[in-house]
Amino acid sequence: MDFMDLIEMPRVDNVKVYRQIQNYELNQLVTQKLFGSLNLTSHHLIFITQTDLQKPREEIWIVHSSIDSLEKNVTEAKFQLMIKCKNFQIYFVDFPTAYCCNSIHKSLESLSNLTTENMKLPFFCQTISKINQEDWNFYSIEKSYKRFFPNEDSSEWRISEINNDFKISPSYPKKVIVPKNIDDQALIKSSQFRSMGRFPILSYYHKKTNSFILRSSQPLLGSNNKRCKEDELILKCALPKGKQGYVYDLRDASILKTAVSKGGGYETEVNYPLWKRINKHMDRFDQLHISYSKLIDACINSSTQFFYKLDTSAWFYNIRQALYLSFLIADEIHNKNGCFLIHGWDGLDNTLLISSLAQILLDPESRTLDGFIDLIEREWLHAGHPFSKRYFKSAFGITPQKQEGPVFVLFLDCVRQLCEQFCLSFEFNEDFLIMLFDNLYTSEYGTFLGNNQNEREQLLVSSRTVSLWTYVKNEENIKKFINPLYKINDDVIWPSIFTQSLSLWSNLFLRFQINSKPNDEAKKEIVKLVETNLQVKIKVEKLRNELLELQKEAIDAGVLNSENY
Amino acid sequence: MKLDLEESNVITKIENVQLEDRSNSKIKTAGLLYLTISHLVFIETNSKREIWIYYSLINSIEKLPLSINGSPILIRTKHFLNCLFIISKERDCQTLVQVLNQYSRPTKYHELLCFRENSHLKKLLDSTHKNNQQIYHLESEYARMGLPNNKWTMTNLNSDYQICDTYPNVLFVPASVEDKILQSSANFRSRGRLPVLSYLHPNGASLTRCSQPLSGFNGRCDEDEQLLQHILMTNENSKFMYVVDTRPKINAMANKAQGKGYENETNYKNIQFHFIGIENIHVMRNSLDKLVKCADSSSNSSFLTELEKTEWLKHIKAIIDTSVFLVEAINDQNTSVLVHCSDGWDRTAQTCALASLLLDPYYRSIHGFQVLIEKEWLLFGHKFSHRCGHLFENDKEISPIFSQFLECVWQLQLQFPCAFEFNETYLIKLHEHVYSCQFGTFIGNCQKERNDLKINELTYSLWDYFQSKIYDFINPLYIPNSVYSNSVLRPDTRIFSFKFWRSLYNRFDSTINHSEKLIDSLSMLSYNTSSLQEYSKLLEKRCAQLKKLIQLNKNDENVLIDLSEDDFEKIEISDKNENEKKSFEKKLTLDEISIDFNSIDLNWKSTRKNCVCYEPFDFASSKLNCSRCGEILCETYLPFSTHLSHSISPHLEQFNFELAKSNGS
Repeated sequence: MDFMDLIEMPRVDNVKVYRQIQNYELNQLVTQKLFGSLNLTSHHLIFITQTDLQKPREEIWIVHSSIDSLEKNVTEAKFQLMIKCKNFQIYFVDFPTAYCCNSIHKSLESLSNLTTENMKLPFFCQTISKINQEDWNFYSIEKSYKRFFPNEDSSEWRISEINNDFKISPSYPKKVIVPKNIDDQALIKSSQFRSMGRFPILSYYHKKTNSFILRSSQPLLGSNNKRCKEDELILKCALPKGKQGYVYDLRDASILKTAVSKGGGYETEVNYPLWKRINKHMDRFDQLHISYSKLIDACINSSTQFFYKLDTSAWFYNIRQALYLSFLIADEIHNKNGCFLIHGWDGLDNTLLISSLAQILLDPESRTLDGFIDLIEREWLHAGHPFSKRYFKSAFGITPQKQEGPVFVLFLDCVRQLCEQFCLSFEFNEDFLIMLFDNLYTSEYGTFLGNNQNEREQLLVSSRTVSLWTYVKNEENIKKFINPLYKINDDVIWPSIFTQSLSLWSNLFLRFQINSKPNDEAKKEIVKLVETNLQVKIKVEKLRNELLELQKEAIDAGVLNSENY
Repeated sequence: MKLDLEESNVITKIENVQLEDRSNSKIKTAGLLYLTISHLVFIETNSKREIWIYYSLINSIEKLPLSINGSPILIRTKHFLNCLFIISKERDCQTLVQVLNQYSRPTKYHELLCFRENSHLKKLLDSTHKNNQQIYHLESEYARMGLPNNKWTMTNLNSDYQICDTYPNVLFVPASVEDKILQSSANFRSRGRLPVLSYLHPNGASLTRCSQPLSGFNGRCDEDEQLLQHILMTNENSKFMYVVDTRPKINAMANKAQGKGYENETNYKNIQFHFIGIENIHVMRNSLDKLVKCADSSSNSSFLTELEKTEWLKHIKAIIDTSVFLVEAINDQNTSVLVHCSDGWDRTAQTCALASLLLDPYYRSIHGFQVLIEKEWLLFGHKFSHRCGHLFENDKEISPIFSQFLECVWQLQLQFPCAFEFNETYLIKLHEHVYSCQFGTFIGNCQKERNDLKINELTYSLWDYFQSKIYDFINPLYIPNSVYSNSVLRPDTRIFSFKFWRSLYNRFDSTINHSEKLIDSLSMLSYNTSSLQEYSKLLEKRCAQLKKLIQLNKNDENVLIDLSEDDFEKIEISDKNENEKKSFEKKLTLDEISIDFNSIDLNWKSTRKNCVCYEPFDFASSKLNCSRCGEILCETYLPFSTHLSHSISPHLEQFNFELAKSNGS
């Protein structure tokens, strides 16, 4: 299939485009009306305004994959297309005839719903910057291992390459960390007992207390109550003496029966005597998608009962729940003797969310820019979060397979809440999180392509596309993402999880509705304050050295005495 | 502001008291309760933590059902501190309630705190300030607007409060109008509150305020109609003017039946009449009650739905919406506006003050904001004592009208972080002291009453107190010449722009407030900068002295012996006054250099650390760095700490003190 087959009409003239823009002077939203021509290319919808002596030519570029939903409104007098983008921007396009409206609609429907990974934008954007292999290899399990276990010999854990060909578990990375005393054969047995072959692996090791987080998928008990000795052995071996094991099952206890009847299940007390099972409810990704749609709807149609609508969207419920559960885990790990195995159904979504949030609370490293990228690589990309499926559509759309679910968006929002509550403890800023959001749905970079490492390797992503981290690490770009107030905080952070303490992410969810200028001004002012402070510190250091030298000179010359007389 | 317990008159002491944590009822701390004549003091047994509650701030005392541990008593304050004490002996509990009822319900002004001897304030304010009460003269504020001019003039018609006892004794009215007209208009307006000037825009459009006309169903007053014409005529740029009734129409209609009401458009020429529905004091009071409950039930998972039900933010939005309407009329349409509600001292004060704040950047400075409050609220007779319940009188008069104004300002601060010279802490402290009765500033209901009470002579002024702690209140992000702060502010009034004011309504809930406050970090950063700047000056001076010393030594070996006594001290210190000169006329020694050298710690502790004294429980109290040792201190702890001998605040005065000390002894 070629792009050109999908484009019947590459250009339409006499088109009107309406969009809402912020009038900064009046601090009001106004509808901007533009006249011009619409052009379709393989990856972009490009609108160019008519040349006008008074106004400079304006261009609007819309990437096809950024289109979330299209609504056609064709009446006798009006041939209109409403384009809702994944980043919440909305355009209205008036066409001169019903024919071109239909044609463009048809083309866009196909172009914005391409499922073939190979045809996606990053493969056509190799020129944006040089492909840097180092950025593709940003994360390595050896590095993590070293960080968790500086002294390898005394460690009770090892790196296994059992999944090197992605056969044992297609959604796991090639290498995983497992208890040292467990051999690869046991891992294979355990993988057969776990949904999608996702046997328990080490996710985080808390050096300060020698506690840890494991994660996996649900065990496949089924209605005939199967058990797997090897799986039981992994959990038994992992747990050191004096520690209390907890299985954090992110499903409500009431649905466990259903899970068993479908061939799934849970860790029974009889077979896993050292581990205490705790069921905590988290909305699944498909429910979360509904929550997300309601949230965005409340933001766009905010006139009446705004707070009520926010509440019923359950988005804040999900934030609270996610932060609360990670808080509980961090508390057990840092202050008590708890070790954790986290899973839900397949361990692809909420499991990763809770495990990575707990790490942000516990691990100062993960609050640095590099550490955070490492966390995303380790706990989301290498852990097999199905990015391609979950972010195919945003808040306005959904595919018939209903695989969409903004779990990573919820993660970003939770991290932002933490950034807001601990404004000194994070090296990166809100703009970094918004940049991640934007690249999640549509990107020129290959980082979020595919659903797991296996798929990314098959697509040759690392040799055919540029890594998002190449963009981030660029000297010019990195400045935008650094929090000027950051000071290393070696402690565990304990967030507040009351709804009063949380806030709506207005710079993201209301991005096309609010005036960001006063806040940008404040941000600049903060940078200025930090710089002035730094300069005066440097000056003082210099003066201090100068004074010390002069003092020495004066003593040597015998003109300065240390005694009063 | 703490007092020494020894000094205060302790009435009684209650032992075996437990303080229950509001967010987790399982957590209880044991301690002692002291009842003084002015305070309730709780002192924890195991830590040094103390909670001091002024009786004047107590809003309600509620006896809850008996529990196994004793009798629980819930005390809620007007600044949103909720304390649940569990008292083991029922008899003690009765004593507590009895004492509180006796002392926390003053019925006469002279029983209020501000009229009592206050050694702490005396020490703080008498040394630095003398009789600064009158920071504000109405004339000088109108002079700032260019008045009197040929259009507007000052009248002494109310010099003895004879035509309106709730207005100031000086009023600004159109120059063309005769006293007779003013007199008749006053008679036609509720409580004599005739239309007078509040703010004059440079474009000629004016903001005037009054109370409702006593029109009934068809009453009219020629002179009142004429006065409006005179006001209209002062502005050449517009052929008409707006009359804004800030009440909902139905309320205004109801007033007609009582012989009051609103202007009939057919009687007044060239006016456009508008109703804008801001609800009355009773609705606002109930809404706040709901809000406080909503904020208190912090475990409530449907907080946002509850918040919606309180309608509080809807009311805040209505006030800002109205003010934006006034701003657009005056600034964009060059059209004058006359504003009133019923008596013109609640909604009118809110909207006129806010509109001025949006229009004129002067009111966004610390001084300008005080002037604005003095003018629109104090002088134009907002009934502070009634609305805040300073005395134990009629509950139905209490309403958070001024608090709403402060919250509106806070909402604006959120939207325009660089536009205000003062910070959030300023608003929170102002909110507290409007109720606390420690200062005379907000006592009484109008200027006449404050004069009769001799407030200026007998009490301390809140403004002076604020001035003495000004460093706590400065917004480090303030840009006086910014695009946004130097022109008209145009707030976004869509409902999603309005936020719940957590730092006020959950001021004392440590589990709800953010651990690392941006405002603290920024203030500290600018403290640190200015303190280091002073320090670098000191270092530069020392360097110069040493250079001079070495230089002189090289030039002439013999000078060495009596050098510092005369030669360079004269050069260096010639600009200093006599006292300081004396302190400087000592030898420069190594010890002194080292004292100077170590007078500042370069690595101040981050604000995320708590004060060395105890866990902070008031999130509005600011954290400071001791500039010498870099430790974190909170303001409550400061007066009692040994750090006081260190230089706490970087401002010049104290630094000179530091200088003098290190050189002098």
